[in-house]
Amino acid sequence: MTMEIDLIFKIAAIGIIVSILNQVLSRSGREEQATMTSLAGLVVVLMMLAQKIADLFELVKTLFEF
Amino acid sequence: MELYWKTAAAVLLTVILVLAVGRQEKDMGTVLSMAVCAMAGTVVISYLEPVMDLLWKLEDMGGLGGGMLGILLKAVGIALVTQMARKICTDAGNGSLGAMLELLGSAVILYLSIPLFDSFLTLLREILGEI
Repeated sequence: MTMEIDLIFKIAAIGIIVSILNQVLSRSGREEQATMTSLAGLVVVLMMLAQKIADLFELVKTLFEF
Repeated sequence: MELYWKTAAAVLLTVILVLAVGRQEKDMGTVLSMAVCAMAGTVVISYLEPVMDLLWKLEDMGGLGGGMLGILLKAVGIALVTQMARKICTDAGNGSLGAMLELLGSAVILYLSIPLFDSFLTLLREILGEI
């Protein structure tokens, strides 16, 4: 069992990049593209998160004998 | 024990990262905290495994049987997951969703404990029938 610190940095990095892109696009008057960028970043991170949550639920199910 | 220190450090680091990222992208901060909750939960489970083995051994030694311990452990598992999810919902500003999740957890635990209540009632009927 290991603690994957890399994932934390990955998500934080995506968050910072999306935030910067959002600012740049908003300031240049492209609000729609900024929203779509935020949404895309969120979907990417959610896909990474879904696997972790599935792993956790599987572990809980195994440990508590569901 | 090495894993404990790593996890504690990762959680503290995440608090700072969530504050930094969440200022601009609040949803990303929530997702980050959810990811770390899932990973820390995995570590918690890995520490609980030997405890569960001990409980099963105690059940064997005490000759309990009848799946009583299994029901209790399931209730504990549901309570742990529900509590974690409720806290995440509350932190994300969705208290009503968290409350509903808590209600769902309570309902499922009640549903799981029906056989316990049933056997308790049967026992009571047997005892009262003898009097």
